[in-house]
Amino acid sequence: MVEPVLEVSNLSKKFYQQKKTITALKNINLSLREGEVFGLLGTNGAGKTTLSSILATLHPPTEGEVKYCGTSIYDDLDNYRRAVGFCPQRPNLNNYLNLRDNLYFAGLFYGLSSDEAKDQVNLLADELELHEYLDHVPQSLSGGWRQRFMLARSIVHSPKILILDEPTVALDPQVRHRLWEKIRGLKAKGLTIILTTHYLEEAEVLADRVCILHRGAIKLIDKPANLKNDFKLKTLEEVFLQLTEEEVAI
Amino acid sequence: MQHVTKNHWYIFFQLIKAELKAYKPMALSETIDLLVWVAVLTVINGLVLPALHVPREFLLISFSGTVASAVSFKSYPNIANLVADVHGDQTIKQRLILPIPPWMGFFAMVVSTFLITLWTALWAFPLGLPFMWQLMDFSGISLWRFLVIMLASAWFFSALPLLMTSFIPSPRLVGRVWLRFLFPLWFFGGFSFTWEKFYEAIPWLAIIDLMNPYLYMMEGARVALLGPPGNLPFWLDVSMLLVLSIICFVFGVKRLRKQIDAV
Repeated sequence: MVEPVLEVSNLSKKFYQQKKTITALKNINLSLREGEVFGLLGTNGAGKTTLSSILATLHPPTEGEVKYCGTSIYDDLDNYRRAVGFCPQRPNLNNYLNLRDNLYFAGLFYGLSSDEAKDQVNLLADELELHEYLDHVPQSLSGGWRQRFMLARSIVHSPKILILDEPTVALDPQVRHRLWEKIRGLKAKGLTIILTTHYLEEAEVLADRVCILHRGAIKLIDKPANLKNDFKLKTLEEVFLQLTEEEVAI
Repeated sequence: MQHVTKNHWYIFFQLIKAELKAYKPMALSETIDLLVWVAVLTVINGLVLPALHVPREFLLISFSGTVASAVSFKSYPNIANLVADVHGDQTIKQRLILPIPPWMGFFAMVVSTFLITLWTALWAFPLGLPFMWQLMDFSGISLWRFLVIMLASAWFFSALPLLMTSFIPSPRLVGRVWLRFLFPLWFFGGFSFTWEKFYEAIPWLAIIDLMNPYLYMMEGARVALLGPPGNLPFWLDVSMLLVLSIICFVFGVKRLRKQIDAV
């Protein structure tokens, strides 16, 4: 059996706010196969962003383990961080640098040489059609373009795993479809992609498997087609609504 | 603590390079901002107040206070920017997932702030000098001491934003930092009086004031520009600023990492 590229076991996350304990994730167990697109679905507050932030090593888990190729990510954090690209929900490009420098320095920050970083910027500009805006500052771009640059920044160091946290949120359908094409292109290159989204259609189109999170716990993990068959429903959206109807009723 | 490798230092220097590149387009306008402030104060000290027969000693104390304060000039905007970033833009989060020890990401921030602060602040003395020319006794000036105290002060004011930011829960509250914290410290720091005279006037408050980092910056600058008599020992000033810088950095990083909930 092929070893999973990423394995999450018994992971929990609690936040302590104003003397209250908030459990964001409860006993999460999942494993990712190399080259798959893994969709993380859930309603607002389900724990999708918390889980993707933990996998991106931004936040530590309260309990549990994350293994990359069989080794705890915390035993060799540098190695894991070099293997991961993270595109957060909120674009956090440096507004004081133009987009060429944003991408160039992002490459240097992962240890690329100056020439390697420049080559990567040019390559990504070709692939993601970014040339027109390379010398602009982030604030001057529309949401769709900014998101495209965020995607470029997250892959500038050629990661093995890409974590996309709601990459198409608030984008118009045309831009969203164009970003889907780019994500498909990255999958074709062999990247393992964790795609956090609350667009069910997006998950249905892009994900090989989906994980439905509900109130911090995993409801189920399966292929979208299997889920539709098992639940005898036409779309993933209907499956999702049925699974989370308790929350919808509230 | 994680072992620091050559790769870590490479990334560390790239972080500084990026900060300096981002600052470059603003360098001129920010230097002009500082120069306006220095020029106003030195014109008053060098031309207006002498006409009112204000004692020369006071004018020189005030001038050296102005020059020293140039180092702290950017501390408030630096705190405001960091608070806005932690709670808004979140570019800091990119830094926190890089393959370097977390403290190095923060340290790169301090070093770049230090270089920018120094670049801006060092203009204050040559710019103010023409206005104070007739009042200055140049035999008392020690340029190496001036440089040392400016370096130590710049370190302190580059580390301070980390600690201050960790105490500010929302960008809405950042304005209070100036009125409730920086301004009182600045004025009690001896902008216009020496600690010795302060002690003669209100001993108990002067002793409490020994915890004030601005005091060491002002006293140190006075030793460098006006000579040692009447001021705290120069190396005490330098040592205290460095110790306080370390405290700000260590506790600032610890508290900020907790606030952001970083790995």
